Amino acid sequence: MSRQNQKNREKSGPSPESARRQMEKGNAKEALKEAKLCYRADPCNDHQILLEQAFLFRIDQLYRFNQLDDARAVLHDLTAIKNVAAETITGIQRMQMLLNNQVSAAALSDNAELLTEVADRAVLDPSIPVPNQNDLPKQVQVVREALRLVEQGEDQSATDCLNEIPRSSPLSDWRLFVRGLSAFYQYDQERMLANWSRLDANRPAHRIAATLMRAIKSELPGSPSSGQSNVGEIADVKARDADRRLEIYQKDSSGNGILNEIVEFVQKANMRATYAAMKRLNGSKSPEHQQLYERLMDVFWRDSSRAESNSARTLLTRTLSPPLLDPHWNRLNAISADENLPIDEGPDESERCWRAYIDELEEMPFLASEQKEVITAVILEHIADLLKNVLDYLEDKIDEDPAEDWHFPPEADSRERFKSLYNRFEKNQEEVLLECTQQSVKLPEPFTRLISIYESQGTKLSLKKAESLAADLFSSHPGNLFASCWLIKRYCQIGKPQNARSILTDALTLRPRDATLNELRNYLSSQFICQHVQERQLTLANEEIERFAASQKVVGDTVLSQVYSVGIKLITSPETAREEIATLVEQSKEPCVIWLNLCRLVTDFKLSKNWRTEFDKPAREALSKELTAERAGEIARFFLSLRRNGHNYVGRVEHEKLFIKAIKPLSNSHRTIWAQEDLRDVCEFFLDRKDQKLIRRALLERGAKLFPSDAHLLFWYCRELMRLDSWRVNRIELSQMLRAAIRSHESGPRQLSPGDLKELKSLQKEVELHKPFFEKFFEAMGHHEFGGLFSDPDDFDDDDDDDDDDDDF
Amino acid sequence: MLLEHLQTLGLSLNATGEEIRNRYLDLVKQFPPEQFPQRATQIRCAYDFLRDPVHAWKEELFSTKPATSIEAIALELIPDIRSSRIPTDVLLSLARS
Repeated sequence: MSRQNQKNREKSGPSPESARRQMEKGNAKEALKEAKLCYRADPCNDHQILLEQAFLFRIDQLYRFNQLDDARAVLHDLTAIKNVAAETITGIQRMQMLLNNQVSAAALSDNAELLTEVADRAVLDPSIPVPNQNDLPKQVQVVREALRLVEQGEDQSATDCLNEIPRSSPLSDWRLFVRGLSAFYQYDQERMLANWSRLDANRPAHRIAATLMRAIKSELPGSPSSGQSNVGEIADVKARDADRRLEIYQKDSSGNGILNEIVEFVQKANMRATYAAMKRLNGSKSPEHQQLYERLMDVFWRDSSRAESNSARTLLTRTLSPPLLDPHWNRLNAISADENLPIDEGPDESERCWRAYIDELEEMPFLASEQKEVITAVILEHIADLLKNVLDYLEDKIDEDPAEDWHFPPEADSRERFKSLYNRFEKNQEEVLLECTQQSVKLPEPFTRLISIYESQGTKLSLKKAESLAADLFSSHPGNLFASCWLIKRYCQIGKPQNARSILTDALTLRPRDATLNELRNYLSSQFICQHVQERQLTLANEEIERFAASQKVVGDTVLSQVYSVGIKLITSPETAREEIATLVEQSKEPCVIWLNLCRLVTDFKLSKNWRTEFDKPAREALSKELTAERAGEIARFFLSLRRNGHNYVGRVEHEKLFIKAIKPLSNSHRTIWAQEDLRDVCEFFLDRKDQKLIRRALLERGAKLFPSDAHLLFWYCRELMRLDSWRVNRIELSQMLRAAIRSHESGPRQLSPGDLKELKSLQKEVELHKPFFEKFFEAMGHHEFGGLFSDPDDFDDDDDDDDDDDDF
Repeated sequence: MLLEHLQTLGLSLNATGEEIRNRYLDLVKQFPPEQFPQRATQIRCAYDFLRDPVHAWKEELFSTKPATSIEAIALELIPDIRSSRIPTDVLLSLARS
């Protein structure tokens, strides 16, 4: 007994309850001690009965553990006291018979239970003499012989010899067991269960069978189930004990001595001893041991890469031979550098280590050259990812409003330093992505990223490079949606819509319901109209307009097709056209969109500049009028349709400026009644406007509050919040909003694009990662509302319109 | 990680996509899920990992979390209890309590 237990007992004193509890737990020795103390303290009748029960319990346990001499000694002590309980006298007689081998045939014939016990005991322990009752000694011999035969694999002989045991014999349980055992080794589940399910659950054969069943992750009917009663608990302990015994046997017989040692050292967190055992394993020439070394090494090096201190990594790399796929530890060093990336200094160290790893791929002859190409491309993409993370961080820092960051205001020269780093890493990212695309076409992502980079540069040369990359991507991945859409738009923009037609047809065959492709189909059709008009093939143009109008009717938007029809008449019959325009404007619920479309038409159809002057004036006037939420939605949709297809017209920049100016009062007013679609489209219009941060934030905040089940509005708002200084945002609420956005995406009518969904999930991951820290922080602050998220509405007055894009393109 | 899955399918590092697929189909025939659920799951899991080489190499190169644990490897390497006959004395000792 432990000192603590002893102290506890001394404190509380001996009690009959405590003794009974020990018996219930199966602690016979403790129970006897407690009962003796109770009896010594107060030798009353109850205490004597308890003492006799504890004695018998202890004797029985010692007998079962085969500690026969000890059992006899305790039995002697029990007989020395004057016994009072009738059960004790019966128990003493039974144990005397069992322990002193004085089991008489007469006693056995009267007591079937005792006969069974003696029979079981005789099977389990051959040293015990078996009373000559009903051929019992012979039958015990048969059972043991059958067990020996099964052990030697002679299953049929074992079954044959068991026929000698009659069904009425107390050993018939063992007959079932041996038959089931033979089936167990032969993987015959059905036969095994047919025999073992008939075993008596209180006898040793059942206990052995149940243990074997658990070893093969199966269960025998009647096996102990945990936690039902104290009896169940004791049975559980016994079962676990048997399982452990079998496990030890398995381990000892498996021949994996070193592995067992390693497991033990790992469990004790003794890494020096672990690695010493690993060294011995690696020293073995056996291919199995080499394979095992690689598997274990994979676990060790990955674990060490996450360790906070360098010492774990140092111990590993200095003690052990490197794994097959990292012969100079460059990969481990690179991953460690990734984990400790200084975000404001860049991933130079990571890149150095990863490039060293790429160089050593040549030293790995077991890899095919195609695999080396893929590995190199995968690593280069990873470096580009690291650079992108740093660029995002630097971009935020450069854009940061010093007034916003009230915790850590930036130093005066830090913005310049960030800009310089940004330029360096931006160039580096472009180079790495280009290298990656040249290495392997199996990774589409670097292609799409580089195409976007070239596109954003906007020069003729960069657009040409982007086109070439998109063509490469499309030829190796014909089903790639990004490449298809990009090429369709590109061919439309450079006046080659005929090149886009086959790409669109193929893409629509694969994804007939894709919204982007269907929008592109209309855009392509409009490009054909423009091309025919520019070439003055008006009949062809009219035919295309008819087709275009038919498809537009399906989506309920006929404005553009009507404007195109008017456009043809501007060439053939200007006066008729003017009359039709007047009718169109009169009938339209938003005349501004008609004027804007007419302005666009002048560029699309290459009409005379006079027409632009004529249409631009009413367009400006309409844009300068006070906006309603509905009108704002209509106009935003017009600009969005142009932006999605990369389409432009002379005067667009000025028109957008006027629109933004008109929107300001709406974004600032809580009285505006927004329809969900209008607000969503207006918000989308502002998403890419870096110069209109405050309006965007105000609109997004309003959108998330008014329409908390709109996945797009929630996602955009959360993304906006994440761009703010993290201390100003309540991440607990943010986490709830992100979860709501995912729910809305899954159940709502308008789903997020795959790219947006990916970004949303990554935001959620980031927020969840830091949530526990913020929960503690807010708890410490004593409140959950931590300041306003956005600036005062008056700030909008300071918002500068620094959009100085040139109208001429 | 990659080696772990290759070992499950009994393939070497430079196995091609076609070799991986053929080996997977052979093993599925050899270990039908109805009879060998555990082994079949392992085979499927290994094939899912290896069928996309880009994904497989990304996991192999950058994952800091091991695919398994030392204890799991040790458990896995303990042979099936039925693969050899247990000595009778060990067997009978399981009933001792």
